Amino acid sequence: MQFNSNLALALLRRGTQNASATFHEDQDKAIQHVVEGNGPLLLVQKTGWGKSNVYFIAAKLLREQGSGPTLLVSPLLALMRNQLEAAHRMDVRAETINSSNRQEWDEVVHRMMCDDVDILLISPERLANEDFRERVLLPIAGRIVLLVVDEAHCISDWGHDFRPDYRRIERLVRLFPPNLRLLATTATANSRVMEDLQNTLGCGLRVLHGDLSRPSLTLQTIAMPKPAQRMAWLAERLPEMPGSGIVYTLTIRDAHRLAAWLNSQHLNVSAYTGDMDNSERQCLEEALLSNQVKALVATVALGMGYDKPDLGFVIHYQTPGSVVSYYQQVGRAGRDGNPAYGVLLSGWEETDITDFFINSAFPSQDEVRQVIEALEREPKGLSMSELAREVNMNNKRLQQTTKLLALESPAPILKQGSKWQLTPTPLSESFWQRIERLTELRRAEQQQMQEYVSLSSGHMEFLIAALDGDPRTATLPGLPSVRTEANPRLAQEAEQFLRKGGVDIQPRKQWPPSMGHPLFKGTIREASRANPGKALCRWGDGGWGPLVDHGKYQAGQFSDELVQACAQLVWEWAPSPCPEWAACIPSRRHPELVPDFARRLAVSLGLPFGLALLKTQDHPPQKTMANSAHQCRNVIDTMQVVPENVRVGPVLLVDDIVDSRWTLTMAAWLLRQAGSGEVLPMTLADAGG
Amino acid sequence: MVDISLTTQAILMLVAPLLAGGRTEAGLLLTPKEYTRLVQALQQLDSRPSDLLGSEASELLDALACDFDQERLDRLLARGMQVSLALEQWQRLSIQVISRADSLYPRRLKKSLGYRSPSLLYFCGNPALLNKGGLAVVGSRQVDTDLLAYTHDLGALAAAAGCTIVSGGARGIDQASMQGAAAAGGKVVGVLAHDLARTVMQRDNRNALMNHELLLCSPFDPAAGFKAWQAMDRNKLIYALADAALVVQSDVGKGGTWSGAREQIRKFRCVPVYTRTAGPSSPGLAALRDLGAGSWPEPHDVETFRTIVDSAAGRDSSGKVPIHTPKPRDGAAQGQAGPTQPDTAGSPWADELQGRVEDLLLRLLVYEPASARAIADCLQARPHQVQSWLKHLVEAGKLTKSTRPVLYQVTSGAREAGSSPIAVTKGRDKPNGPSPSQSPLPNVHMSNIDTPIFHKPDSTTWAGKLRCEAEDLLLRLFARQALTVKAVAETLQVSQIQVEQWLEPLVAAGKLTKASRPLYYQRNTSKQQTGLL
Repeated sequence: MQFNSNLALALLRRGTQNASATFHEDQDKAIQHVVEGNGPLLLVQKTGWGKSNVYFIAAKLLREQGSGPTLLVSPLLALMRNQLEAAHRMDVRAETINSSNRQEWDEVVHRMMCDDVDILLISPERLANEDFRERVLLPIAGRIVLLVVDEAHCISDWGHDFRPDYRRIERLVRLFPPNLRLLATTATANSRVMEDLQNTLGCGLRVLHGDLSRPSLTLQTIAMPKPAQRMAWLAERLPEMPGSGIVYTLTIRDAHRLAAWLNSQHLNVSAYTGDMDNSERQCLEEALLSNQVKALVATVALGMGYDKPDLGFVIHYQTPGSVVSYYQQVGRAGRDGNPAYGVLLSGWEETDITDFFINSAFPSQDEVRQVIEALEREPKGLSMSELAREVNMNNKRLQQTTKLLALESPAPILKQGSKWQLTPTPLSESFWQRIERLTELRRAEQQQMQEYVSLSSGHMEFLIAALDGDPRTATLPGLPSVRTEANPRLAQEAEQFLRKGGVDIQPRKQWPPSMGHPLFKGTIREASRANPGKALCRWGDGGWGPLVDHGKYQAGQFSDELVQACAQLVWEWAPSPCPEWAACIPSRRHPELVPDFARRLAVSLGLPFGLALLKTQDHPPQKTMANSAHQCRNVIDTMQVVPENVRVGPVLLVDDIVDSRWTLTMAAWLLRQAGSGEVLPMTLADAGG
Repeated sequence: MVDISLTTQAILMLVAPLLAGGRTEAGLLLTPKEYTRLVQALQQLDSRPSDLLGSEASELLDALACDFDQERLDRLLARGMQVSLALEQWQRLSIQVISRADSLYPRRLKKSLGYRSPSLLYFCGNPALLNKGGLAVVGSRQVDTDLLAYTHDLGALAAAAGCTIVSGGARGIDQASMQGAAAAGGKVVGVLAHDLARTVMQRDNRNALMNHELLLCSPFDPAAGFKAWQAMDRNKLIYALADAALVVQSDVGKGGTWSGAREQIRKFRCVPVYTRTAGPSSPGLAALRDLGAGSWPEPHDVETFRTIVDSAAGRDSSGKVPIHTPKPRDGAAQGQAGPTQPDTAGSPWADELQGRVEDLLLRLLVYEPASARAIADCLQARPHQVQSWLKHLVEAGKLTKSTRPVLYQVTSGAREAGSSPIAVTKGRDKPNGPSPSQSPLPNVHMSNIDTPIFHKPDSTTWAGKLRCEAEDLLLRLFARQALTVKAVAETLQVSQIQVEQWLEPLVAAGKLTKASRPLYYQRNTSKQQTGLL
């Protein structure tokens, strides 16, 4: 195929709506390479460099010469609105097929078959979906001339964000015949990732690598262990930041809580997380684009592909797990070249959070063994819900485990219709080797970020070097550094904020499916179930968390401060009906801990206390039970009601930590059966959710 | 997992159905015959199918342009993404695919079946079993329990003797033999006619596959469902992968077992075919014996069993003469192997011509009987030559000759069997025989089902079709050397007059040149040179 440079330039100008636009360095080279079919190409360029111009124009030039359409695989389809508009201006017929436009699939497929689409955009999840491959992808794949793989670093095992679905892309491109064009793009690839990609994409791989330095950024790191300190710092410093920006948190809960705190300090910010629906997110993105908010307090859900060139700052409330993801996130600031801040705050809880991500990233040996053994027992295979009954794992873990196993090739288990089945290939040792390697890598990355936190200067050099770029390209920061102290008065206020309000406990309304128990099946009758309750705090959180932890695991008694706080919470909560007596969950392991606390709380609330429940036998701690059926079975028959201690009125049912809620559910059921009034659960901490 | 070879990838693109059912691909994919011609054309350009994927592909396609439909080839070669998706899926299912060019491809198939060996073979399990030979066991699907028990025991005996069982994986005899062998820890090869992907996932097969004791293979797409022609077409592979074959039960004149066995005895002759002698007598087995099948000595001990199979394989260590020497049938066109030299082996060329003519005659006669004269007229061939072809077909049991008037017609049982190669050449989704919409009249254009990629002058008539076949063969024959009419006639085992009749138009078309004193013909090579340079 011929590269028509005039047409390419004309397309660029139409797409950018800039009659004098010219190609960046390498952009036209990349287009030419792809159009002429000179082998696989890897583009490593900063976000905002204009990778989409390369593939849209290349796709168009190929079409102009009678070739088939291009297929683009990207995890960021939802965030490609701007690029799609540009494509539209270039007269590139682009269509997406993703989970949110299912009703349009047939139409898109039809248009593909009629040769009426120039570039089709799909997500890696689609590509890995069996049904979609068979029904949609395979029929239209017969004419595809170019595959574009966005975020290609995910293809590499060494990539910082391992996405299981990319494993299939990796294997697919390995099988590409030489006459199929391939363009891989990424913003970040260190030398190990590059080596891996070279391996996968073929030795003829050509790489066009941009430089990594972001001269407009002033980087800084501040260690402040307590959440309240960072909250205070943000409340004070945010107004001084140039323009508008992003505050990144590691968890959804932190995003919401931090946004609420900053709002309470009269700052115009909004939370932005992955659990919000698309339209809401789009609204918030728009608000940030047009500077209607000072900042979005966001998780990584506000991520790759979001492009606001004049973003004035990116502040991290906690340290992310790797240099690559940090570089990507902080790199969103100052793209227009105007000075911007990139401030990383570091707190004590971040290591726990990133540890959790690392430890839960892959199934354990035991979980895999459970799945495979369950399937071995059933020659005809098991549906997901049948499988769930056979294994002691929660649904999310189970789905993750089966998915990862099925992504091996040859796969040790596969889904045939609705049933999971064993295949004639046993699980390869390389599965565990890869997990081990990836886990080690994550630990090293986490460590590297802690090194970054401790830097007092040379931040940009550090990042560039960590990404295997040339640190000499870094320039001196353009802005004065930000004050590093938190205002103690504000910190005190933040501490109060964290302790306020408690956490709702929603009652269980259904017995677990397939318990195999005649009494405990289907819906729990309203007259037998608990009312909504309250927990003082979330387990492992700031606020009251440390005090609860200390009481349970060190002092062996919960402090008066906690009793006061709970009493306070009950007053604020003012449940209806009002409790008329108090009871507590029994334990044989710590027979005094909870009753002691419950008694003191009852006194403080002026309620009579009754030891209405007994533990009849030991059972494994509830937290070792991973799914509802196992948890519920674990508590049935181990608790007994003491009828003479049960009173008629509504009862405040006290426990220290609630997790699966099955113990509370069971206790409420027993108390209601014994003639108690409504049951109002109250715990010190909520470890569930 | 072996890495997929570039050649296999190219072949997949050109011939393999990749969409379930393959409907949308019918007419696009190359038929085995078309593929063979393409390979031959490429050979003449010093190239191979994999070069169609390389950097010189467009020059090659230009050079092929006058003989092949460019657009169709382009569309086939654009299926790279489809092929990659399919391959990736097969790999997940533990299924591998190999082509004739791969070292894992069983030599037995190439050796026994020549150009009829499937260009692609899909398999799961231990590929070493493909070259181990063993005993092929075939038989009907519907049999009584006694016969099933007999077959099961036979499988166990084979296992004890260390002899691989090769069978077709169908209900009845096939499965009994395979299960008997597997249960006794023996090695088993299943040559499936359909649903390889599903069979691979059946739990019963899992242990044997994991222990390298079972190989499941098929020449058809792993997702392909049951079709009668596929079952027929894979029969020859069962025989070709074994050292000897035993027919346990068969109908007479109909059914897959019958036609597979008869085809083996009369046409392919890869291995000695035995028939069961113990137990209740069977008219089908008797009829097979009439055709030339042997009687199974019904061994009861390991030693005897081993001796029978070993001697059939020509492996007898004591130096005894084998009972049967498999007749080597090195075909004319084995993909990459290069055209057979006509001066070293005469028969493959004659066989290939005979095979192609057979196809043609069976298609021509499928609806109504005709006299030799009428057939000769229709084909515009020498009556004497036509007589000789017809005689061959009658001997093979494919045609029946009636007297007063003397008419030839397709043998009723053979219609299914005989039509299988037609179905193979025409499309992947067709039932046996031509569809009702297709006119039986000889001169009707058949391109609706047999899309020609070859721009031959007059392939719309039966005569034209015959000429196409003959010319194709002749051009290949002349590819490497100049030949006299006599040499050609001997190589093809046809009359010299017939040869001359075929050669003249080729000279007129400028494809051959004729030299006199001595009189010989040779390939006109000027076109190729302009094409490549």
